[in-house]
Amino acid sequence: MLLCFLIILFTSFTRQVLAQEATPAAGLFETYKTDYLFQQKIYQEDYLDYFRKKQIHTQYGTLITQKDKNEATIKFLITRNTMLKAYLLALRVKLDQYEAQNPTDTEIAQIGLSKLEEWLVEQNTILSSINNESDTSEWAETFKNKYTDIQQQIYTSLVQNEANQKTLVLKDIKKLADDIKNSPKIKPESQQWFSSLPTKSDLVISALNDALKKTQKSQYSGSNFQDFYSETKIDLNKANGYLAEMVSNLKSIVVKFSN
Amino acid sequence: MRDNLLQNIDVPQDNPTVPTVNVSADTKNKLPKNPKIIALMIMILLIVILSITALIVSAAKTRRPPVKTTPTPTPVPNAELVEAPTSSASQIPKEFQIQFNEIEKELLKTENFLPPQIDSALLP
Repeated sequence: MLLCFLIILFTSFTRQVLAQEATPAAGLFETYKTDYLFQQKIYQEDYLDYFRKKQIHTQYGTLITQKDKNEATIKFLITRNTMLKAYLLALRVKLDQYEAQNPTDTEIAQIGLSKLEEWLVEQNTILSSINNESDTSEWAETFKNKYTDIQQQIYTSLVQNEANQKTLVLKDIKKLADDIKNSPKIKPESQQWFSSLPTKSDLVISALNDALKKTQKSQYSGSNFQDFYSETKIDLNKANGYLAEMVSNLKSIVVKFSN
Repeated sequence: MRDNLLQNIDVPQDNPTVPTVNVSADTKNKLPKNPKIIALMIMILLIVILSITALIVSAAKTRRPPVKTTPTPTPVPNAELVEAPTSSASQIPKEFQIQFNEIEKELLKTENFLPPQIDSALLP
């Protein structure tokens, strides 16, 4: 009896969760995100194993401990690449959600991510054939340089996705404003109050363009990644603020001038 | 001879002429030495301690957070805003409510899918 009750309860909750995943892209993203989180867990385990074996080798310094350390290093580097690939894939799928708002730039970002995924797969083949410490160190240096490109592509894609999402909200607001304007339930005196909307719309577009421009910042001035994401977040939040104001204005118009 | 006269001056209880009274350390309400009873008492004590702990924890959980006394920002008058008495959802005509709800839901959505933090400078 209790078991039946629990099964019914579980299935009802499952349906609720599935109902939230309305779009196919969102559902697919959740699948890839789960895979990424699983890979992340494996990576953390392998990293700890590598760290432990490195410490043992530092303490004893024998040929066996060195062999163990080298094997653990290769294993952890491979799982790190696999985890990063899983993240890039999930992000690439995530971009599909709002792709329609800016198909060209979104596709460019997706191609960039795809190329990096291929590079990581290729690197895992190379790593599998490495069997000495000097080659591993050399590879780690190559990765360090490439990781700047990876980070730039990741954050550019994240900003592109957020800009696409805000563009969709702006479109929805404009459509709603048109519906309100043309509604017979809204008094004609309301027309003058819509004048502020185009200005706000321009401010949103300008803030989003500013955010996207920052993603083009050159990353070759130094060896470290120049984090532009926090700067773009300011512009994206600014755009969000204007969108919220537009919604608030429309609400006020509807409440004041509805028949 | 003088030493002999003062020999018991600091120890009056040792006076051999006074009969000594044996004071027993035993009390009438002696604790029972039965192991079962001792175990029972420990159990009762444990239950009491656990009950008190549970009471304290539940009281701490249900305690309301202190009211923040930070000053609220003074609203800046916005000339572009239409002055409406209130704009609650109930005052918005039904035909627009769904659109407003969808837009607000999308506005509140946070698109954070940040990359994993890895140390690329790590050399094996």
